[in-house]
Amino acid sequence: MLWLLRAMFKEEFRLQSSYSNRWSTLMFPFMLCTMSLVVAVSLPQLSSEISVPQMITGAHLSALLYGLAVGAFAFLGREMLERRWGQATFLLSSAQTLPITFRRTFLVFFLKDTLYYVFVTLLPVTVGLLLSIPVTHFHVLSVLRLFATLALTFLYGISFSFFMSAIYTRSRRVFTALSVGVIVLVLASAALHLFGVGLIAPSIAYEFSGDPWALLASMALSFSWAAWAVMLIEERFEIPSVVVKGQYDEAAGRFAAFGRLGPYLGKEWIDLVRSRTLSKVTLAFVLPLAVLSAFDWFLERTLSTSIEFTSIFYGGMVGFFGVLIYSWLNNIDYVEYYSTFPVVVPDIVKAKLVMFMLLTSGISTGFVVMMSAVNHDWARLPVALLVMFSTSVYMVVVTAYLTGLRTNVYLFDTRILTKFAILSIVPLMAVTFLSMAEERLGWLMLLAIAIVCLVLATATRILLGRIDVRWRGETFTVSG
Amino acid sequence: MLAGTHAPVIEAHGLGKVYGSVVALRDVELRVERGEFFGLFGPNGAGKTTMLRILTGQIAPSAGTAAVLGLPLPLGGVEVRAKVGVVPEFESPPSFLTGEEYLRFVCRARGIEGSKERAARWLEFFALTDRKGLLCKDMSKGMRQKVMLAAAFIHEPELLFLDEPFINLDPLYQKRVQEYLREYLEGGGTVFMCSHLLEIAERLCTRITVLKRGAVVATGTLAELKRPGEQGLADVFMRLVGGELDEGQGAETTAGAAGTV
Repeated sequence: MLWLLRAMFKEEFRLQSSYSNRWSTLMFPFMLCTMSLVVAVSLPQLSSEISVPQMITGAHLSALLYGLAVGAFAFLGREMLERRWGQATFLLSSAQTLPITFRRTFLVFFLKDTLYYVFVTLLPVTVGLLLSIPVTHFHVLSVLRLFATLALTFLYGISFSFFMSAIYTRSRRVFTALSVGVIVLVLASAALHLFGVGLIAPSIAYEFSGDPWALLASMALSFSWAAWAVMLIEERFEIPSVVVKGQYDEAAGRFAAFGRLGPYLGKEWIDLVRSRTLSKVTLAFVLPLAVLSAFDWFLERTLSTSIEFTSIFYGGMVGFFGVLIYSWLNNIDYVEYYSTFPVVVPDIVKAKLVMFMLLTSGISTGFVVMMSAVNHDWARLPVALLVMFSTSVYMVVVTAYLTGLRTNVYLFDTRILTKFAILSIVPLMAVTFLSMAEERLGWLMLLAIAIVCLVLATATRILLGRIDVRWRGETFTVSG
Repeated sequence: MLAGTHAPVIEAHGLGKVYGSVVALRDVELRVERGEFFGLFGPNGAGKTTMLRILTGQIAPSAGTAAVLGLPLPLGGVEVRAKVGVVPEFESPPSFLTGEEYLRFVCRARGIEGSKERAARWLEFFALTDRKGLLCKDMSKGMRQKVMLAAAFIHEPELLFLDEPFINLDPLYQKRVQEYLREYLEGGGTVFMCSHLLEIAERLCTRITVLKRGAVVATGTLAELKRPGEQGLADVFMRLVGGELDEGQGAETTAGAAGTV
């Protein structure tokens, strides 16, 4: 099995490199290491706002979510990649052509994912913390212990995600029932305080108590999830072919007002509906917002601390999470067939931008209005909506300008990612800071926010105009 | 289709393309007249698909000039694609449209009338009428290729660029498409085709060019290229590029090339 593991490591690295280039892929862990070093050095300033145990809990929750996401992407992403690159291209599909069972390749795939992502993300973060020791005076053993416990939490998350994915391939009903069960458990811990979060993820309990039983439980549960996943996974899970009624003309007719983009918008809409991406997109958008709201709620209930999230803050967040939607829109299907059409890449980018606005405007407005209602924050709603529209249009145009039709590909490129980080983090920080500084700044805050929105609108206008220049020479073909 | 004029339909001078250190095309001279069935042949990696992509305005050449239907490339790429039909290397219609929907989408995007009738005609031609509710992602490779061919033919262009048009088609439809292309030629159309199916190409092509490692090694009619004792295109092809079996195939790198662009 070691030969397959080695081959899968190479495949993963080359896949990541194909998104950008070898150099950028190698730079990614280095960038994480630098970020971790910077955060560690800034800890004295941060710890006046958030305590160290809170930070460690946050790090564990992040590792848990990261593990869950990597596991989920292994399946969701595979479906997309196969659609984009063709069937039986990846080593995971070896069972179709080689004398090896799918269960075995699945197990190796799990091991590869676990080791690869610990190696390229958690390890560089740890190295960054170790490098900060001359300034922070952390104990080496404490840092290594944190790495070990975070790796355990990540393992717990990824194992559970693989387990749930295996369940999903067997029965959607059982999957839904188990998901509801997990949500109930989380709520019982966070809202009702029936038990601590350490009981849901024992590695967190071990982090704070040092109880060896918690360590043992975490390891045993992780291995159990993984073992069950391997046992339950179906040898094959082909998607049955379906027959549908022609809907294209009707869909294209609905977008006739958009002129030349109408036919493309009609096709985009059908893609969204038939690939069931509409629900995934909505979930991908709403989930981070729900997590954000839940996080605040969780801090307030469990740690008796709260961050003052106003409607203006949520308005900004909604805008920034919109990037996820644009990314999803670019991942539904390959676009090579457009190379036979009388269009250029900027035309399709614009069609995606229009679809983005149509898709998100309603959800975003609804969310901000809802948060205003929940927090009895109606007074700030108009400003919150202004912030929401400015940031969401700005963020999606920045993303489209930097990544064109290959958002997931280019966001793995260190140079693009750096530009993206600068262009997004600066306004995000500005909006977040201003939304939280109302008590201190008063009406000046409103003025400052208006200026930020104006700057964002100007930047949006400039970048929108430059999309044509930047992407006109780009091909629709992957190898082009 | 346009009536015949004396201007070449496709013209390329000193065309070159380099991908990093790989020379895909070098110093290619090409001229295709109206009404010709032009075949471009060569081993894998010889530069055929790169040539087709340049001529359809998808990529820019690294050197030289090219024009299609009098439109300079890559500047006139959109206009070229509006006037021609293209079957790309891979059979890749959109996953979530049915064959019929895709054909109607093509009509709308090209701004041509009668999408319903046109789609019906081509679905019938390729015997896809009873499978018109099937999503492209669930089709066999052959069916997807039929959809891509129909999409290239549907607006009756004056020039067709076909990259391996017969791949994945069963013998019945290989014959049917050949018959259509002959009729198309008789109607004044022009075809530029890349293919490895030499037997079919021999029956269709009026003139051929053979590429080897990105360079033209021969151009002419089959009769002009044949030497005594050679039976057909396969023999000519083997003589011109067969040495690759010993030398190693594909495009060369600038470091190892005898000549560079």
